Amino acid sequence: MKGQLSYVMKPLTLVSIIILLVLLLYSLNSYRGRERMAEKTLDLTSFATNILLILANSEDCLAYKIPATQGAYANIVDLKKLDEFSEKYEEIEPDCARNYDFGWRVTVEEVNGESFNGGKTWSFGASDVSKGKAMKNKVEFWIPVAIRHSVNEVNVGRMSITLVDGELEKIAGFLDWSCKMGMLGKMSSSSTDVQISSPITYDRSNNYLCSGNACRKLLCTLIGFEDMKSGGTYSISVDFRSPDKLLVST
Amino acid sequence: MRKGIVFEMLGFVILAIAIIGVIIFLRTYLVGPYGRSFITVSERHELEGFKAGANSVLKTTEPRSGKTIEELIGIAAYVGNTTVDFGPGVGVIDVKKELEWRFNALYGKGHWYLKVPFPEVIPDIQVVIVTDVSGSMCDDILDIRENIPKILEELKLAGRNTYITLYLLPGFAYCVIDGETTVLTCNDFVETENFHCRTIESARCDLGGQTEEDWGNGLKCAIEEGPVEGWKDFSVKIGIPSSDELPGGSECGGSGDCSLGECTSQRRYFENGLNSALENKIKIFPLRAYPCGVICYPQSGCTDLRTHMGGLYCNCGNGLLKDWMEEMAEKTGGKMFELKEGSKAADAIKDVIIEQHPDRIPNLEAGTTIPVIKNVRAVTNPIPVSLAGKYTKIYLYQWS
Repeated sequence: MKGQLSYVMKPLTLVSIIILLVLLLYSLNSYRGRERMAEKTLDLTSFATNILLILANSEDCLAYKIPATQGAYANIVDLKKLDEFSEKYEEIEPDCARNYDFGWRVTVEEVNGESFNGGKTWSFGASDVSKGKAMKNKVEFWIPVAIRHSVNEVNVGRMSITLVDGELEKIAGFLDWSCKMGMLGKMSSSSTDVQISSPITYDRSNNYLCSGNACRKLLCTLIGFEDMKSGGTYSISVDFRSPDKLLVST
Repeated sequence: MRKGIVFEMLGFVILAIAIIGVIIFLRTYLVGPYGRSFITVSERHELEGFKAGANSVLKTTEPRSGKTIEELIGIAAYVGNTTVDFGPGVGVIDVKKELEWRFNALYGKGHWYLKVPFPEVIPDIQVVIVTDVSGSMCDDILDIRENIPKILEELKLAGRNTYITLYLLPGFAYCVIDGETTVLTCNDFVETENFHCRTIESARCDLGGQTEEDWGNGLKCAIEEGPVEGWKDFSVKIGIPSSDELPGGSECGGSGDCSLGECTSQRRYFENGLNSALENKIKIFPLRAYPCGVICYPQSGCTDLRTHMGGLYCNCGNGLLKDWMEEMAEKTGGKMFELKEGSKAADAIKDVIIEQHPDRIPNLEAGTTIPVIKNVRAVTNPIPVSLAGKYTKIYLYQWS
C-alpha cells in the first residue's frame, strides 16, 4: 500500500512542478508584455507632450510671434493662427508638429466667463483614428495655454491632444512621409512591411485611407493601391511621382 | 517508507515555494523598477505641462485693465495688497480672485495652491502743499522753505522716496527776512529733485485759488495739476492745505462768531477742494496754522490777531476753520494738524510723511492647503515688481 502511494505521489509532484514552471513562464511572458505596453505608452506620452509644447512654443505652429523682436512668447498662442490651423488642417496634422508614426488631433478650448463650458473651441489634426483591434494604444493629455486676441486681451485656454498608435496611422504615416520626402526631393522611393488586423481600403474620390469606418486624408494621391482585404503582413513599396502622386505596389 | 513519502512531499513543497519566490522576485525587482520609472517619467511630463501652464496663466490679461496677471501680481506686491485700485476709470481689481478663477477653471477647486511673498517695498509718497500766502502765514512758509528740502533728503536716505510740490496761492507773501520786508516768491526757494515750488496761477486749471487764502479751490487745482513730476501710478498721494483762515478769507464772519451761515462762499470753495480730494482718492492732512499770533512789519508795526477786528481771525481759526479742516481730514482718511507756531509747519509735514505706513499684507495666498499624502507638482516663477525695480516669486503647487 505504502509503495503504491509513492507511485501516485511521484507523477503528481511531476505534474505540479510542470504546472508551476508553466506559470513561471507565463508570468515572465506577461511581465515582458506589460513592460512593452508601458514602454509604448511612455513613448506616446512623450510624443503627446512634445507635440503640445511644439504647437504652443514654435512660431511655425501656433505661438504668437512678437513683431518687434521676431521672437515667440512661450505658451501664448495666436488667435489668427488658431483660426488658420482649424481651417487648413481640419483633416490632417500640420507639418510643424507632424509625427509619421502616430496620428493625433488637438482641441483648443477658450475659457467662457470663468469656466470652459460653452467657450470657443478650435480643432485640427487627423479627422479620425484607428478603432477596435486596429488601435494599439491611445493617450490623452492637455496643457494650459494663453490665447492672444490682442495686446490687451489674452485669455485662458486649454490645449488637449488625443494621440493614437494604430494600423491606419502607421500606413498613412508611411505614405505621407514618402510623399513629403518626394516633394522635398530627398527620396523618390521607399518600402516597408506592415502588419494589420483589419482591412485597409483606399477611397480614391476623397483621397482617404480607411481602416473599417475610420478614414484619414493623405498628402499624396495613390496610384495602384490595392485594398488590403484581410489581416496579415503586407509589403508596401512606393515611388513618388511629381507633383503629388505616389505609385504604390503591395 | 512513510518517511520517504514525507520527504518527497516536503521536497515538492520546497520546490513550489522556490518557484513562487522566483515569480515574486521577478515581479518585484524586474518589473517594479520599470513601473516606477514609468510613473516617474509620466510625472515629468505632467510637470512640464504644469510649468507651461503656469507660465501661460501669468501671461493672460485681465479685461478691465488690459494688464497681464503677472503685471497685476507685481503691482499687488508693490502696494502690498491683494486688491489694486486703478482709479475711477478701471476701478478696483481683486488680483486674488483673478488668480482663483483661472486656476479653478484649469485644475479644479481644491487641486492647487499658490503663494507670492511681497517684498519690503515703501511706495513713493507724493505731496502737494497748498499754502495761504497772507502775511500771517509768512513764518510757516519760511519754515517750509528752510527745512523741507533737508527733511526730504533724510527721508530718502531712510528709503522713503517723497516728492513735494508747494503751490503758493495768488497774492504777495510779505515776509520779514533779515529785518527787511520782502515779497516771497517761488524764486526764493531752492528746488531739488524732490522739492518744487510753483504758483497756483501756473497750474492748468479752470478755477485756481480766488484769493490768497483760498485753499479750497487751490487744493482742487493742485490735485488736478498734480505734483511737478505728475501723479505716479500706485504712489501714496497726499494733499496738505495750510492756512489760518477759511478758504477765501475769514472776513465773512464779520460779527465775530464766524458761522457757516455767513460763510457760504467759503464753504463752497472748501467743498470744491474736498470733492476733488475724494474723487481722486487723495488723503488730506490740513495744517491749521496758528490764527492768534502777532504779525509785525518794520514799517507798519505789529498786529495782534487775538484782538484785531474783534478777534475775528483768532475765533474763526479756532472755530469754523478747525471744524472744516477736521471734516476734510476725516472724510479723506487724513489727519488735521493744529499748529501752535509757524516754525512747526515743516515738522508737521515730516510727521505726515513718516506716518504713511500703508497697510501691507506679507503675501498673496490662494487655493487650498497642500495635502501631505498627495503627489504634488511645484513650479516657481519670477515676478517683476517693476514699480519698485525688484523681483518676487510665485510659488505654485498642483496635485490631482
